[in-house]
Amino acid sequence: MAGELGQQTVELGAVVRRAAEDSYLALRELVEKSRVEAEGKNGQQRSDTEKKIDLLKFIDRTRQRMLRLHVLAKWCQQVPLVHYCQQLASTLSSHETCFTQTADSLFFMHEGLQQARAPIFDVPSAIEVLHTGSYRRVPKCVEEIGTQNTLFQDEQKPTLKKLSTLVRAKLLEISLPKEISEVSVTDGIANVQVDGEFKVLITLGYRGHFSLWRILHMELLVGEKAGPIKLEETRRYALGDDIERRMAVADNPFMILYTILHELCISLVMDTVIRQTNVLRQGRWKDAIKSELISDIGTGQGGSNAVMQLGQDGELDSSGSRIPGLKINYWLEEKNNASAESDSSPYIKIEAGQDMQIKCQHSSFVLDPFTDKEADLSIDLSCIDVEALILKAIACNRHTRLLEIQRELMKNVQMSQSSTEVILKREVHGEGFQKVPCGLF
Amino acid sequence: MATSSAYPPPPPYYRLYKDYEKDPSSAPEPPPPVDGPYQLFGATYTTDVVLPSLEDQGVRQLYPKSPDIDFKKELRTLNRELQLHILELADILVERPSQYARRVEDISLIFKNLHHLLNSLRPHQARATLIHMLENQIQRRKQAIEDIKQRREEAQKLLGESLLILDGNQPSLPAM
Repeated sequence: MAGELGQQTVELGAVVRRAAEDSYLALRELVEKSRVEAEGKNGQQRSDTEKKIDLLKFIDRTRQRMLRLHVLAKWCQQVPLVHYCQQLASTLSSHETCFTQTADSLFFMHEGLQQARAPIFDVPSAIEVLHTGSYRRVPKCVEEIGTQNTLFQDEQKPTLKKLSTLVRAKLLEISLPKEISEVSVTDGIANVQVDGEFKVLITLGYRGHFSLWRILHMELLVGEKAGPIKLEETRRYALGDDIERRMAVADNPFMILYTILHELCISLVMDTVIRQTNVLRQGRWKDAIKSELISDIGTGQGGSNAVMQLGQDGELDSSGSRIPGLKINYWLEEKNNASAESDSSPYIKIEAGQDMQIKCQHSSFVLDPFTDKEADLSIDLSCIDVEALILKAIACNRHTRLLEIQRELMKNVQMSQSSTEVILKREVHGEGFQKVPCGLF
Repeated sequence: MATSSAYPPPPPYYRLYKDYEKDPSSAPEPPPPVDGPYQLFGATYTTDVVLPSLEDQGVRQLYPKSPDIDFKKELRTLNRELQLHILELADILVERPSQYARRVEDISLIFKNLHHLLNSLRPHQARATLIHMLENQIQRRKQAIEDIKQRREEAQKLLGESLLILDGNQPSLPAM
């Protein structure tokens, strides 16, 4: 029986014969050695233990060989089964190949038939062109791409609720500037407001990222009696885009938002103050007041302010420019003394300090007739009125000077005094204040 | 035509249309429609819609050759043959898988014949589309005419009622 496994085949009979011969030869060699030792010719004498060990080795080796031969003989009986299994595997492999090639052939047939299809005649377009001479239709796919569907009503409420939750969580994570006076979240939109300055509606989702802020609307609360200053549509878009871009890359986005809008508001306030003052100088208060811009560009103090401003608004591009202040002089000297070197007329200084807040300073100490304390001259950013400010300063200054006169009269013991000679009636001043048409009161 | 770059610049004659908005006659007349083969985005097309026959493509024709073909009958026959061949392919794959190639070839042949018949029906489809559009127009016009007739009858009815009212008032006038 010949086995086909492996590269070369050996007959089982030959294997058996060779094994038997090897065993016989080994046994005969062992017997010859024992006989030679028994005769004592060579003089070599092995001990009984060594003889036993040699015999045991021979027996063990022969046993192993015979056992393997037995296994091989047993296995050879299954050769027909192995052949049969091999044939089955070969057949199945061939079938698999046929199946795969059949599927591939069908697929390529399908591809070829796709190419073989004749194009449909575009009758509607042809009729349109031949009938009207032009083509105005737009494919529906373009319309479908352009249309952006909005959520239905029942989908909007839960979505807005989720967005509100996201916005609130985001607001709690970050730090808000202390100047922001009001923050509220409604329908996924955060309303950030600084009283007297601005109001911003923001939400998440800048360019699709839900970790960045989007500005939906901005309003300025800075204004005059005629109402707040209107932010133009295009300027609002440009400003909003710029602020969004800066907020996206900033670690503290709300500080960026506040800084930019606050500086804008302060600039608008000073512009309004300067414009109103110019109107007064050319109008009703002609020759009664004098004004000049306060600019510290040429002084060392200006340099210091520039450095401070640069440090405070490091992110701003316009860090070099400084908002100019305004100095208003009233109760001007007579023309004879106009050429005097020192101008002793009282004045009000309106300027933005180093903390970027509007400050009003009077040249001298004045008392408020209503509170009998130092007068607090300030501008309501929502209703800027320079005339009212000047009138209030004049009233306070007048009251202060009358008090000084009264104090001087009391010191002069030589004059006869009567308790009813000099009386300061505050009601008169009150009437004067109330007559001024101002929104401050 | 320069086709080396992906987006070649337009031909220089576009400058002739600079004043087309103000003066249409300043621009040259458009060229006459192309007849025959022409180039379109690097590919060659032709205005002659000619469908090559199956024998020209090296495919055996299974339906009879005649100018007057019963498309419906032939398509049904081919479809039935196709189903039979698919079932036969399944049987072959079970019994003698090595002989799949011939069956696949047969199926491909039937499909090509079906495709050719359907392609031959394209002009018929275009004409049918045109007929359908014209019928739709006729239907809309008939509907409009019916609407006009209905409105006219309603108007006549109203006028009749008005006349009746006027006639009804006639006898009462002499009595007063």
